[in-house]
Amino acid sequence: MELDGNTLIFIILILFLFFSSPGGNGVTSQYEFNQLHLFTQQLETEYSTFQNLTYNSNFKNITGLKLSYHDVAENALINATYPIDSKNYEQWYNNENYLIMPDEITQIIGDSIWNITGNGEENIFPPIITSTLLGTITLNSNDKYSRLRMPFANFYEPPRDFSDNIPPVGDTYMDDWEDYNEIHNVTFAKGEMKVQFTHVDKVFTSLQGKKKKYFNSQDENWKLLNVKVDFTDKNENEKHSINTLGVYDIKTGRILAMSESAKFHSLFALPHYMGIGMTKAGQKQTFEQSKKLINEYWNTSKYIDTLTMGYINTLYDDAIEKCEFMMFFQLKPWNQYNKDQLKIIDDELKWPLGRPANLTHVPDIVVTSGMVYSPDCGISLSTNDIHGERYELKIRSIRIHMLCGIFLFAAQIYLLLRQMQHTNTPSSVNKISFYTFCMINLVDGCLATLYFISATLVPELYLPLVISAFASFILASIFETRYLISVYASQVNERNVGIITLLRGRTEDPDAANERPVVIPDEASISSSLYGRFAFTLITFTFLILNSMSWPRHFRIIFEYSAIFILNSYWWPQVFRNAIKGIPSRRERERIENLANRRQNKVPLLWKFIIGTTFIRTLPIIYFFTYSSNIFRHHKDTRFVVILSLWLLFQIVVLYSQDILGARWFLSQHTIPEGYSYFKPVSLALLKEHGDIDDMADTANKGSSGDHPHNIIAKVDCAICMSEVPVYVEELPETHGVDIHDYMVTPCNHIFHTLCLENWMSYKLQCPVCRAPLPPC
Amino acid sequence: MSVENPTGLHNYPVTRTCMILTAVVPFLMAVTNDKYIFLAQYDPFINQYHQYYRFFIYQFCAVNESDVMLLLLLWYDYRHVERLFGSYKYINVILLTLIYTTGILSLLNVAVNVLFPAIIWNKLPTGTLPTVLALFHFYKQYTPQLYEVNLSLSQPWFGKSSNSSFRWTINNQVFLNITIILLLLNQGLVGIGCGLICWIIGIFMEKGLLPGVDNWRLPFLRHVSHLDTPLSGSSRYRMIQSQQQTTELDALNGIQGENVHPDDEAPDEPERSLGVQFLDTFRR
Repeated sequence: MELDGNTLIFIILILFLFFSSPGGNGVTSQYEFNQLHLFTQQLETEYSTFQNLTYNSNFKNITGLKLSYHDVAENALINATYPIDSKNYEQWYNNENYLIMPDEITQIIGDSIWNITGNGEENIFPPIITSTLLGTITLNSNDKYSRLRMPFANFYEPPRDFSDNIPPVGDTYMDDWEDYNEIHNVTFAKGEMKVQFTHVDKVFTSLQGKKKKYFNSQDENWKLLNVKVDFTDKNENEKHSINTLGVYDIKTGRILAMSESAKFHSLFALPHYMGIGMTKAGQKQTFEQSKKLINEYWNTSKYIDTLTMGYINTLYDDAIEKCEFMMFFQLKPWNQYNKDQLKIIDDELKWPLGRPANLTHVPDIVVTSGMVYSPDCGISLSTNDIHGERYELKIRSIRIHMLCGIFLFAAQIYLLLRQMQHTNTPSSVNKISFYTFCMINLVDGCLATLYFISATLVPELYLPLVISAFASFILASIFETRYLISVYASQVNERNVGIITLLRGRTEDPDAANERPVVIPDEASISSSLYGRFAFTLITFTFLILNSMSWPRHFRIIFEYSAIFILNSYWWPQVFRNAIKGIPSRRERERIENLANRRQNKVPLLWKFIIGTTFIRTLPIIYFFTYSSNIFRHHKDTRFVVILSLWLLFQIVVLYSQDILGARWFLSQHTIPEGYSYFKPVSLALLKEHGDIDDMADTANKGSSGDHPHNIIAKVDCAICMSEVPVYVEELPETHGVDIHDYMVTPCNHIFHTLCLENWMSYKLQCPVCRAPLPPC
Repeated sequence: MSVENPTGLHNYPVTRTCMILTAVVPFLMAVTNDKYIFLAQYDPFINQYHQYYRFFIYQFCAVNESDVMLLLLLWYDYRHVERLFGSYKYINVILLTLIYTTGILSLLNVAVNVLFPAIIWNKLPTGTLPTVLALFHFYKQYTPQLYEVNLSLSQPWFGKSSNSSFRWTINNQVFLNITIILLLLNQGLVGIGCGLICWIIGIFMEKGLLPGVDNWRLPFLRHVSHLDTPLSGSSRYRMIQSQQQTTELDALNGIQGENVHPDDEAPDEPERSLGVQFLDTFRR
C-alpha cells in the first residue's frame, strides 16, 4: 500500500484525536481542574472529620449533615454554615436534636422496621443477597415534616463562559428556588418499587486499574452493597431512581442505604444511622464496625485519587433534580438453614460443581419491612411485600427458557424447510403471499437483533444468547429472506397491476399490456433490494422496540398490544392472496385428473406449516401474558391472550374454509371477474401473423369460400417441442374437431402444447418466445 | 487394497458417532451450563457427597475445549481400526474398553484413596482419554507402519569433522503419537498416570488377560442398520484377495451378488446427504 503525504497526515490526525481524549479523570479545562481540586479538598476535610467521629460525637462539617431536624423545625431558614452556635457537637443521641429526621420516623424505624433484633444468634440471614426485588411502595406523608436545608457548594456549577477559570465560592440553598416543590415531591399514594442489591466486594485500586482488590476484613458480618432503587406510580408518570452504596449487617439483617449527591455526602452518615433503635453498647459496636468497613472501602479504592469529572457532574445533577432518600430495610431471616448450608448454597450458586445444595428450594430474598424517608423533601414512604429470587437463580431460569426458545427456532426452521420443498416451482411459489412472510420475517429478525444486543449486556448468558441470536438470524436472514426472494421474483410480473386486474388474471386493454415491464429484474437485483429493505425495516423496528421500553406505561402498552396484534395477523395476506389466485375447492382439485394440473392447483401452504408456525409463535406470547411470574415480569393479561388466540384461530379457520370450499367462496359470483383462460379458439388474423402458415391460411380461405372436401387442419409450430400444434380456428368450421384444451394461447398470442407450456410455466412465468410475463394458471 | 485410507467419514459409522458425541456433548453441556457434572474427583464428590454416578459418566464429556479437539483428532485417526475390525466388532471393543477403563480406574481410585488417605490421587481425567489410550494399543498392534523418515541433524558444536550426527527416525504414525502425548500432557499428572494405566488395560485386553475382545458382542447392536455390513472385515478382505487371484471379474460379481439384490438397481443419481438437500431447497 502506498502512502502519500496527505494520507499520512490524515492518519496521524485521526490517531491524535484517538489518543488525546481526556485521560483518567476526564478533566478537560482549567476550570474543571479547579473544580476537581476543590472537591478533593472538601472530601479530604470531611474524611478527616469522619476519622475523628466516634459513636458518641456529632457530625461537624460534613455536607448535608450540618443541621439536625430540630434545628430546622425551630428556624426554617437557618444557615447551615459550620459551626452553628449553640449546637452540641460533642455528644450523640438518636433523637431529632442530632438526627436529620424527626423522632416520629426514628420511632417507627426502631419499633416496626428494624424490629427483628434481640439476640443475633437466633436469626440467620443470607450473607449474599445479589438480587432484584419487586414490590409496592406507599406514601405516608409528603407535607407533614419540615424540610431539612441542604446547601451545596457553588463550585459544582458548570463554567459560565470559556474564560472562566475559577469556580465560584459559597453555598446554594435550593429550597429558595421557586419551582423547588414541583420537582422535589412524591405525589402518588401508591406505586411500584424495584430494589436491586449488588455486592461490592472488590474495588479497583486506581483509575486505570485492571485488577480488583478485596477490601472487606469483616466479610462474615458486614457487606457493602450497591443499592439501586426505582419507584414509580402505576402509570409511570413520576419516577424516582436512586443508585448508591449501602451497608448490610448480616447479623441483624438490616440494610441501610442513603442517596448521595452534591448536597448530601451520605457515606459518612452510615455508621451513626446503622445504630438507630439499638442500646448504647450496640450502637458503639455497630458504629465502629461499619466505620471500619467504610474506611477500608475508602482506602482500598483510593476514593480521593479516583475521582472523575463525570462523578462530580452526576453529583451536581442529582443534587438539583432529586430528593435525597434514606432507605431502611429489614430482611427476612433464613432460619431454615444453618451457616454451613448457606455457604454450600452460595458456593454452588457462584461456582456450580454439583454440591448437595437443593437449589430448587432456595427461598426468595424478602424485605419484610422497609421505610424510605427524604430529609430535604420531608417525605416518608413505606414499602410492602418486596421480594425476589437470587440473581444466579434468575439467570438459571432464564437460561432454561432460552433453551426452549432455541428449540422453537429449530422447529420453525424445520417447518420452513418443509414448506420450501413443498413449493419448489415458481408457479406454486407465486401463490404464496409476500406480506405473510414479511411479517414473520420481521419478528424473527427483530428477535435476532435483540438477542445480539443482549448477548453483550448479560455476560452470564452469553452462550445461550448467541446461539439464540444465531438460530433466529439463520431463520430470518437466510431461510425466510431467501424464500421471500423467490416469492417476490415469481410475483414481479404483478407488481404494477391493480387488484381487479389480478383477480381477472389479465390486463383489459392492449395498451396497458404494453406498458408492463418486459425486462424482468433477475434474482440478484431482487435479492439485493430485498436484503436492503429487510435490513432497514429491521433496524427501524428494533430501535422502535428498544425506544418503546422507556415510554410511559400507558403508551408502551398501547404500542405493545397493537404491535402484537398486527404482527399476529400474518395469515390474512395469505387469505387475500388465495382469493386473488382463486385456488379451486378440494373437490374440484380432486376431480382434475391431469397430474401436472393437480400439482399446480395444490394449496400453497402446508397445513403442517400453518398450524406449527401459529403454535410456535403464540406459545411465547401465551407464556408471557398468562404466567404471572415470567422471566420478564410482564404483567398478566389473560383476556388479551384469549382474544389473540381466537383471532389466530379465526384466520386459520378462514384458510381452512378456502381449502375446502375454494378460495373465493366469500366473494359473490358476479364480483369475480373471469380469469385469463389459456384455452381459447384462435382467430384467423392471429393465425396469419405467424408467417409459416401463409399457405395453410390460403387453403383455409379456399376452404371457406368453396366447400373443400379435404379435412383441413390449421397448424402452428410449438416453440418448445418444435412439433406441430393443431389449433381450433373460429372462422374455420373444419378445424372444430380440435380440442381447445390441447393447446394454450398466451396473452402475447403465442401458441404451445398444453403439456409443453405447463411444464415450462412451473419453472418460469415468462413467454418462451417473447419473454412477456405470463399469468399463472 | 489401497495403501492410504480414504479420507472422510463415509462408511465409518462408529468413528462418525464417536466424533459427533465427542463434539456435541460438550457443546450442549456448555450451553446448558451443566459441564460440571462430568468432573470426577474423589474429594469432595465421592467421599463427601457420595455422587458415584460421576464415575460412570465422566468419560462422555471432555470439560476442556482443547481436550475435545485432541480427542476428535484421535478418533479420526482410529478409523483404521474400524476399517480393520469392521464396525460391529469395533463398537463392541469400544464399549468393552469403556467398561474396563471406567471400572478399573474407579476401583483403583477408591482403593488408593481408602488405603492411603495421605497420598492424594484426587482427580480422574476428563473425556474419553482412558478409552482412547486403551484403544491406542489396538491401533499400534494392528496398523502397519507405512513409511519412515530418517532425520539426521548434524551437531554444530562438534564441527564438520565429527561424523556423529543426531539421528531421528519418525514414521507415518508420528502425528498420532504427538497427539497422544499432547492429550496426556494436557491433563497433567492425572492424564499421564491414568493414560499409562489405560494403555496397560489395552494391552491386557488384547492379550486376553482381560477377556471379551474376541467373543463379547452386544446382540442388539447387530440390528442397527449400518453396523450390519462391516466395511471390510479381515475375512472379507482375505476373500477378496483370493478371488482376485483367480479372476477379478468373477470376484467383483460375487461381491455384488452378495451385497445387492438383483432387482435392486443402483439409483441413477447419487444419494443426497442432508446438507445437500438443504442447499437444494435454494437451488430449486
